Amino acid sequence: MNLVNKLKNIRPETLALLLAVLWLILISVLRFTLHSHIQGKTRLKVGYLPITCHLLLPVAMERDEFFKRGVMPVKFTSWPDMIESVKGGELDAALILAPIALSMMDQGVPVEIALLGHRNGTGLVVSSAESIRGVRDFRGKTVAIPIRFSTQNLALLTLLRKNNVDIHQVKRVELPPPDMPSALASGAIDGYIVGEPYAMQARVMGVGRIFRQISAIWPGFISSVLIVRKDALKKRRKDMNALIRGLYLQGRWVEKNRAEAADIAAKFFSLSPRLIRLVLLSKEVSYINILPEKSEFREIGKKMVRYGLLKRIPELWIYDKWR
Amino acid sequence: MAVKRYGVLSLILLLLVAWQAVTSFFRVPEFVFPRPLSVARALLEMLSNGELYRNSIASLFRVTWGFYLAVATAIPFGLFLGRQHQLRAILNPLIQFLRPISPLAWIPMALMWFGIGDKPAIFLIFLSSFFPLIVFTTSSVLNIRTTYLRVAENFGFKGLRLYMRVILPAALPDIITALRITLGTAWLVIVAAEMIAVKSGLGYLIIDARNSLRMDMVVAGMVVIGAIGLVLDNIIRLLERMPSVEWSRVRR
Repeated sequence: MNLVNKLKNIRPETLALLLAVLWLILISVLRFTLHSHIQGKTRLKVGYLPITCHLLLPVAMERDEFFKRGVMPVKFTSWPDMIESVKGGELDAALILAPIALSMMDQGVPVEIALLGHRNGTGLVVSSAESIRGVRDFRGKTVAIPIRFSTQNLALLTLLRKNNVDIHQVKRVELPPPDMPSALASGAIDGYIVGEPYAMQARVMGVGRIFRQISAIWPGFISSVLIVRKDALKKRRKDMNALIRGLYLQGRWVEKNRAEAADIAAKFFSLSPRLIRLVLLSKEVSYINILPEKSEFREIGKKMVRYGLLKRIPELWIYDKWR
Repeated sequence: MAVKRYGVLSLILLLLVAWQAVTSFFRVPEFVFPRPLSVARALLEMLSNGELYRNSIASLFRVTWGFYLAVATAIPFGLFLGRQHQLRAILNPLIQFLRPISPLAWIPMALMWFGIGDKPAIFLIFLSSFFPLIVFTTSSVLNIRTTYLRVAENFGFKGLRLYMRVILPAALPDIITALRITLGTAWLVIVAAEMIAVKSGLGYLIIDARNSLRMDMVVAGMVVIGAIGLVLDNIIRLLERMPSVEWSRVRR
């Protein structure tokens, strides 16, 4: 009997079971042949989001030898996922919003702040359809923020307070940054405060204008910081130091080669190069002076306590032994 | 058959033309609703650079493992539970309590327990199929005609032999229907799970395209998800045509 005849005599149930098992083997083999190259166990895992505040990571991946062989960037699409990956110990380091880092320290997550992502690079955007001229015009309006635990949120609250606007008169909603420009275009929100390039995006799309750059609200503004896990520091101090030093040194290069850095980052983040160039060449972002100072974080902590994001300022852990 | 096929094709064509016409006529911006042509271009782009293939494999891999694990555990357990009336009375409230919790509610926990990668996604798929499968299987055992069981008893069928020769064949038609429903749910959940818990797969493709402000790729991803879902459903429908399953339809 040949094979075809044999197959014909198999009961359909057996055939179905056989095919199901074959499928399992096939899909598993395909999966692991396709993805074997990203299973770098020895590399340092660093979490990031595609925003210009995290631009030093792609630049270092392109220009720094240690990064090419020793670092695995892990892209995230939202802050909560990154927070859980840091807490679970999946990541060795991460670029994360400063208030999140502080709240982690408050919860006893073993992390230290090693570096700032950059300075400034955030804009308060208002719809071109709205006639918001002064801060008081924000009363009764809806403004989007990336997440409660962001310095963007704190900056907005500070601006309102300074201008004697009751913060409860402005409705704040949390939105993923990529959704903000289209939410503004559709009229769902009247404005938003966010890190670049999503403020610039509203201008490019012609749906909004920058009401105020962050440097006018909060000079030397800090958005994200590089946090490092203490256990990773203990086990692989040399590599961790190379990571921090590499990012720090790329900052100086970016400061002088902005267009080139923009192109590297745009490719890495798969965002429009024109958009990233606009952001970097506007000089509203700065990649020097990114060493963390305790006093600045105490200031952020104070604001978080004032607006109910923290009960008290936690013990601040700054890692500076790499310098 | 031919009428049906042409009908389906012309409906799809009509929808595409209407989509293109409406979006061009009202000048809907691409970032609000991309045109079919740009979606087709995005599809071609993702086909040629291998993104589509790689991410579909990743999604299918997770669904396969999660779904198989659920099938392998829930069906034997469900068959067993269908015969154990006291145990069922005790466990049922717990199962009914866990079942309505969306697998997506488990995402924060899954991330912390399993890290990032395939494991949390497989876990979520498993959850999405496990509880419904138990419930369906148990009730399919309860629906077996008592005549069958009495006859089996008279012939002295007991233990494993009773399960393999009488209970499983009698419950199989209902179980196959349950498989079809839960596989659909699993495919529904994988996309949502990949939007958060992993760094590859079709769900990730969509969220990543959105972050890169590429609405055409978002819609292209949706098209692929729908197409694969359709294929999966058609494959599992083949199981319903097996003689050991089809008899139930004849009976009804």
